Amino acid sequence: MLASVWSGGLSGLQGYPVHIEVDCSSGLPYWEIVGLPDAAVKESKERVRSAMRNSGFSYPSGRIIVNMAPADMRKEGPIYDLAIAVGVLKVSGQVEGGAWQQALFFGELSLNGDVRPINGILPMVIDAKERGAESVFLPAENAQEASYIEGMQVIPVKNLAQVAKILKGEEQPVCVDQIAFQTLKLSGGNADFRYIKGQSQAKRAMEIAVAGNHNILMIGAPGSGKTMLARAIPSIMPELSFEEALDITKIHSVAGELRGAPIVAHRPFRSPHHSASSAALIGGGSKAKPGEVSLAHGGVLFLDELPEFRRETLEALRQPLEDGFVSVARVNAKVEYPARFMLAASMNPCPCGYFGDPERKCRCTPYQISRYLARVSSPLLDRIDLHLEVSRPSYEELGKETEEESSLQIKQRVDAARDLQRERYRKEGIYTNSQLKGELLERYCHLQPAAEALLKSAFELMKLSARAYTRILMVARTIADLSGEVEISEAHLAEAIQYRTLDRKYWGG
Amino acid sequence: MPMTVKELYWYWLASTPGIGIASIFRVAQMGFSLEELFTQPRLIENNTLHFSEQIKHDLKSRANISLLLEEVDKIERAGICIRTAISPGYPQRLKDLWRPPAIIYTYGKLQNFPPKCIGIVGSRYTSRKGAAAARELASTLAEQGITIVSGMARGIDTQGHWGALEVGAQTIAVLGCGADIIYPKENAELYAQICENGMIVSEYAPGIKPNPRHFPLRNRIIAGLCQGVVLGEAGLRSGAIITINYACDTNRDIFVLNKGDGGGNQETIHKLNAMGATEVCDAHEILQYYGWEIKQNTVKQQKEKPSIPVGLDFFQTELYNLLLKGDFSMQQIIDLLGKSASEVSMALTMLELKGLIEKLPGNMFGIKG
Ligand SMILES: [Zn+2]
Repeated sequence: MLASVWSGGLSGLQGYPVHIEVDCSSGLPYWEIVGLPDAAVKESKERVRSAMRNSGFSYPSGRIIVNMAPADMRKEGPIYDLAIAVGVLKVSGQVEGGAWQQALFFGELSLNGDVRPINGILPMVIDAKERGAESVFLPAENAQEASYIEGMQVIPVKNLAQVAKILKGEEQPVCVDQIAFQTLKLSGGNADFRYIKGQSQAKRAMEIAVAGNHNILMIGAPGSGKTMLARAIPSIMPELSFEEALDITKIHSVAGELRGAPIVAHRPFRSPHHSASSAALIGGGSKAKPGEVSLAHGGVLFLDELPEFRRETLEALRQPLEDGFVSVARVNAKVEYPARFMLAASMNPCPCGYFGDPERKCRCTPYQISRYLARVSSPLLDRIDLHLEVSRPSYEELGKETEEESSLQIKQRVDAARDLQRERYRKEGIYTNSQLKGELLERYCHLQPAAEALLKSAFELMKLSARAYTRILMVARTIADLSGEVEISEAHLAEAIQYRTLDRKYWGG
Repeated sequence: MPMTVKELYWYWLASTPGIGIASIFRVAQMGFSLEELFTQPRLIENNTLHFSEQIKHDLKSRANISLLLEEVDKIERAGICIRTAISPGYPQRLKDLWRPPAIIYTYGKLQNFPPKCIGIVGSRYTSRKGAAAARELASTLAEQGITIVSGMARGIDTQGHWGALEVGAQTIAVLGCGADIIYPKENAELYAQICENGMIVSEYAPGIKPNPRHFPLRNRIIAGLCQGVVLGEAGLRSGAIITINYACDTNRDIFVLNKGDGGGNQETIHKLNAMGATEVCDAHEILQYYGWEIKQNTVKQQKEKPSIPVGLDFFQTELYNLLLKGDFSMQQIIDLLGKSASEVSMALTMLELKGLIEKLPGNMFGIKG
């Protein structure tokens, strides 16, 4: 006798269908799973058997062969328990699967028959939907994740007995209500710049950074509010589109980072600790999971205390910063995860943190300071367009009763600047000023003679390093876009120059 | 000038770690010459000399003319000049010290000790005002032909040396380590410039590493080499106060720099006044004090404070006038002038490019100079 059940698998962020066949024949008790199962899949035998017995079913004696197709894809994780159990129930004649022949089953089983949540539901359900599937049985705790996929009947289940009742027609399935993406977006919010007192220059820098999608480095003493500023960045980033949100949610679903949320409706803010390993940051490891750079896709990756990160970890950041994705090697394939994020980093001005602080004396020697700064590798610095010095607000500033601009107001200007860039670069295959290089940089950051002269004298007088040149041009381009101007003027350049602190030689000199 | 045999004996004693001028005097008081001590090793054992076993061993093992000549030759070939207290090149002024160094090593272009020397000392941690005041004072004195002497330490010392070098003058640095060792490391450029234009002085043999015990002793040499010592910005517990105490004990004039703008440590100024120090607000007061002739029209005076700047727009002028009152942070400027961060950033860059203001650590801005 033979029964078949549908489920799905994951390759990176791409789902694919998995067809499970269960064959049962008489003979000595025997169990075998074929079709490249990993250890967790092989172990499903014990979970399926206990779950069936504890849910009041009989476990068939005899030879059971489970075949999982396609055979050349590795099946990973305990996600097939429910599908296999349904197959065994069918093959032993304990349920009829007639009406639900095309449905998909996902879920891990506990020994008592409960269906437990799994990772990566979203990409697998999306793939099934694209292939014409109409209904899917899911662990109740994962149900929200698939709730906004239009036209998919999502049936949340709590235990094996409930699944059997539905299959037998004894219980009507209760489907998850479809949730509109727009309503999800309104719930929950980010930090808002309205709640940050003073810090006018920092806010302006954030506005420029987001408008041109520039990476930013904040330099300031402990307690200067660097983390608070970073956390507010997503609140002024452009709205997430549904497609972007789906892409982001897929990553979080695969990494098991959704934590019950149906969809990532807000731009992510990831802040890995400086002790994080390269694998945790970039992705990979034994399970080839997405790393922080991918979890930050579409949002902000915040590296607090940048010089404290291991050097090789920072080096590994270059590739995703350059390409917008990471390749992670796994057992028999390579998977790619998207990793297009805005990098916000922070550091102290010196080892003790108080260099230049008006109230506390810094006792670091110039040698210690230059060694500390040198810990941030220059290839990484090359990818950071804005440097921002953040000073601790004084008590009077904190106590001031002024109305601060809200994130929404800032965001409107950001959106306008982004629209200008999208329009301008429509035929160039780029979207923002931060992507300008080579010939495009020359074409779109053309300077009038007066502006050219100003930049030249700035280089001579301020002893700016060579890498500052293109960064200043790109940031000036964004500043011009924020004021809606076509030409980069002297004023735009003059402002941009203030954001190249680390290229100037006065530090520790 | 090649060393005399007498100087060589002196070198033999004085370059032995643990032996100072007092030990050498004791030998003289015993009634025998250094030559006798050198040629008759049993005299070294004499108890009234109070030599430790280590010193006795060191002395005996080096009591060999050819060995000593080889040592001296090696040092001199490195460009370092050995001056024992009985050598003609030894600065007479050092003999005013209660315990002058028995030997000094010098290095650099300057061969003789100049007649007019003023020391500048102060804290290693200075405010921008304190640093600028010390540098300006050093420049002005140096332009008038006075040699600035200091210790090449961080802070005021460094400013004093640079102030002199900036106007093309010579300067003398007294180190707490061998004259061939650069300390602190970040002053490598300063060290090179001093060697090229002035002199490095140390009582420690080449190769000896800096040691915290050396620095207070080094300070007595600074005091000894100068007619007077100026105290720049310093706290009462600063090492510079040690130099002042030596200067006091050696009858050197003590000046305390007080520009009368509330800068500097008022507590220190009071204390020094009580010690009989003279308060000065600029270099000219020191020149007048000694009755040294003042040459006019020097380089530094021509590039004095910028006159009323031209070509500034209304807001830039407003910003410039604000900074004339003191240093302000970016946020303070934004709040005080009621302009946006963007407008203030632009104006600051423009003023900076005109050479009127400068960016300071901690996102502060101030008038350049
Ligand atoms: Zn510090």
